[in-house]
Amino acid sequence: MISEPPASTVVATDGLVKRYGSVTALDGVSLAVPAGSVYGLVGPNGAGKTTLLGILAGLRRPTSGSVRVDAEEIGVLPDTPTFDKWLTGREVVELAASLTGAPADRSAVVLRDAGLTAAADRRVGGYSRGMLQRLGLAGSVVGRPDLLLLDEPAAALDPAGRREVLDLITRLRGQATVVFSSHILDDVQEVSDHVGILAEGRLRYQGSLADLLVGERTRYRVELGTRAPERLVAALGRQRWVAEVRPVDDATFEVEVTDVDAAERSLVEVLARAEVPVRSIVPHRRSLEEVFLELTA
Amino acid sequence: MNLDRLERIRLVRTRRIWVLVGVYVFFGVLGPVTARFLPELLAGLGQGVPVELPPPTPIDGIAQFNGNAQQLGLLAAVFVAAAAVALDANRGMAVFLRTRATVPELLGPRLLWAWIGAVVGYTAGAWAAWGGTVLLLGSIPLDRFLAGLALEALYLGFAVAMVLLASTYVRSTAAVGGIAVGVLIVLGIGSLYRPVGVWLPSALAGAIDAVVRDGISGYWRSVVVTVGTIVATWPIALRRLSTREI
Ligand SMILES: Nc1ncnc2c1ncn2[C@@H]1O[C@H](COP(=O)(O)OP(=O)(O)OP(=O)(O)O)[C@@H](O)[C@H]1O
Ligand SMILES: [Mg+2]
Repeated sequence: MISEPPASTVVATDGLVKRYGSVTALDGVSLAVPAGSVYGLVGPNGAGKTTLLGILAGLRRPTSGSVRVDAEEIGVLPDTPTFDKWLTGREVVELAASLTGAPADRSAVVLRDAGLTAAADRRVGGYSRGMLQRLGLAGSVVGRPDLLLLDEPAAALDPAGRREVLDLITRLRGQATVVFSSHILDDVQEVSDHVGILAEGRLRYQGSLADLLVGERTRYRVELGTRAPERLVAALGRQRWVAEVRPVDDATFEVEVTDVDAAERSLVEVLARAEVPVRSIVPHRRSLEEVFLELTA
Repeated sequence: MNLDRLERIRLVRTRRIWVLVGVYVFFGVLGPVTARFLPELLAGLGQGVPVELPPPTPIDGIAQFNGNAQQLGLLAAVFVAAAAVALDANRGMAVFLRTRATVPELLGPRLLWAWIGAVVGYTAGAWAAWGGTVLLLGSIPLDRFLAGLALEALYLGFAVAMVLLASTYVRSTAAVGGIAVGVLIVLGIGSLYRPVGVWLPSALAGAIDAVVRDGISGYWRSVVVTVGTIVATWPIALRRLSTREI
């Protein structure tokens, strides 16, 4: 279930292995992050997400394998951003700006985008966990990086804080390539277009989110304006791309297909030939959670 | 905001500079006073048992300050330095800094300002001791006093270098400070053995009263070794830190 590597990748690793003593944290990871994508790295605790991001950021060395990162400016957000308590939020961002050569007026902009304008002149020691996370994010985007590596940017945030962080990531689309790790699957499903599913140090899936959720076998739910006639069910059953037709109620049934392409080309035609009123045809998309549990089980 | 300003702010906002100045000045004031009134104090405590003490000299005032400054003062200076120099004590902070600046860029201002903080504290205390001594016990030669101050400043540089070295072996501030203090204590004990001691940086620790008495000429070996060690610590530390994973 590994899709074709995209033409232009910003980050590519090949057979990445990382061992900590006897623990193998990464076991042959070949990551391919397309330019301009928002890449969600999902995996259970201890899967190796932080290790992988650390290697991409140049903070850890792989035991073997190669890493290529094609970015001039990289913004990194650690899983628990921490700053000297006696600095103000504005000073933290100004420090990050000066170290990345960003113009001074950028600081105010990113602080506003992070919703921290009102708190900017308060000391960081008094910030909540969510404010620190947003401050960290502001500090990582102030230098206009072309690649952002975010380690669980929305973890431990309340729903409102999570919302703001997801919106921030969404707004970065088009400006930078974003790789972020998370075990909040809804978040990944919402903001990323590419996903890598990491479990026990191995990539179980990598590719576009859409492909992953449709999968190679899927179902369509068909609702008719009348009772479904036997001959239609029989006609569908004869198609080579149909695995099973399951009635839901008198007027609704589900068609399980083995070939999505063929189904999308022919399903409507089969229905039209049966001359029945069609109310709706809805593909049943798997949730990322279903796929994730399937792949990491 | 830049890395140099960050360190100046660190000293002031954490009030560490005031801790350093406070500790040293406290002993600076106390030193000459105890030296001057020790005979009376002991006599008062002795209750009739006659205590024969030679009359206090100006050097005793400086020596009293020195004894205390070498303990609590040095301890404070080492831990203040460790708090700034232990770059990797906190992963979240280390990632923030190390993905934006190189290790030498980060450490340069930290080492410099940790050392300046210690020297400012010690100097303030030493001048307090000088003032008290002149007032209560008599004058001391200023040139020798200044020479002794310079040796102590060099020794504090050595202490900061040991903090840097310790920070390449352990991460937490407490461990870094603890190891550095341990190294300084072991070297201090080693320097009690004269043939080796004259070469050790520890000979400079608290040399000020001996310098006021005997002059600076006996310290060149120790100065050479100390400067050499400080200079050598830098590349060693950078090499060790460049291979550390965050
Ligand atoms: N510095 C380290 N020393 C030793 N083992 C480590 C180190 N860092 C990580 N590990 C181990 O490597 C494995 C992967 O850890 P990693 O932190 O990369 O996982 P993760 O996916 O980020 O987990 P989480 O979701 O809990 O953050 C774990 O078994 C962990 O115990
Ligand atoms: Mg992690």
